[in-house]
Amino acid sequence: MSSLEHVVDTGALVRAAQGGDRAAFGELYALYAGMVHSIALARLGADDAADVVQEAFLRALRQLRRLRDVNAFGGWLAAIARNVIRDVQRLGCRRADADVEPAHRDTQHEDMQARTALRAIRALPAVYREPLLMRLVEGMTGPEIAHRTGLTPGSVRVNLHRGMKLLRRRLEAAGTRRRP
Amino acid sequence: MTDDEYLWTRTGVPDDAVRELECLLERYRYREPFREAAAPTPRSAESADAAPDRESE
Repeated sequence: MSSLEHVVDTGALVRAAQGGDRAAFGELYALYAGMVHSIALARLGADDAADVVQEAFLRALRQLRRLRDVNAFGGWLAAIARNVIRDVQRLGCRRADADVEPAHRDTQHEDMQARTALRAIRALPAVYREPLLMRLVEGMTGPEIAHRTGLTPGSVRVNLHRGMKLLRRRLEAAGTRRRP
Repeated sequence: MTDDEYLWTRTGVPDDAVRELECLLERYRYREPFREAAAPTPRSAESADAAPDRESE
């Protein structure tokens, strides 16, 4: 889905979806689900994060025709996702240990390393968490992150660079990654 | 700045730390399809949505 980023006119997709084109909404889902998932995974366990994606897109679908600036879809969707996350946190029904069981189990040691890395990212300042998860979990490039979130490429690049630097330092300090 | 370039574009010489984290964290990647069965079509959804959520614009 990432390879479509620079040839897809998101605004046109949003307009089509507003007109009832379900395939267009499906394309928006394919393009933006990773972004929403990263926003949720920065705050919640893996199972809850997956539920947030579904709920955020359902709410987006219900409210889509009210979105006037079709080119602001990414930021608008992110705001909906953050509201869903707040609802989950407020209701206190989080599955706290959900990320203990990743989707694809390899060795026990790698699972432990993955959990440690995810926790380390969640412990970073908020401004670094989401772009790093979009990059390292969802495999988005920096320009893709900028395009989907509506942030400037410059700010995304700075936050990725500083966040990675801080993450690297903390993982090395924790002894989970050797110094280069 | 090789590592920064790889971090930014996923091209060029991979930075070891970034690559290691990519391999570890890829297992958390979101792969679920949209549960369309639960979703109304956009037009019917709009007319049925009498109680707006907090986000509107």
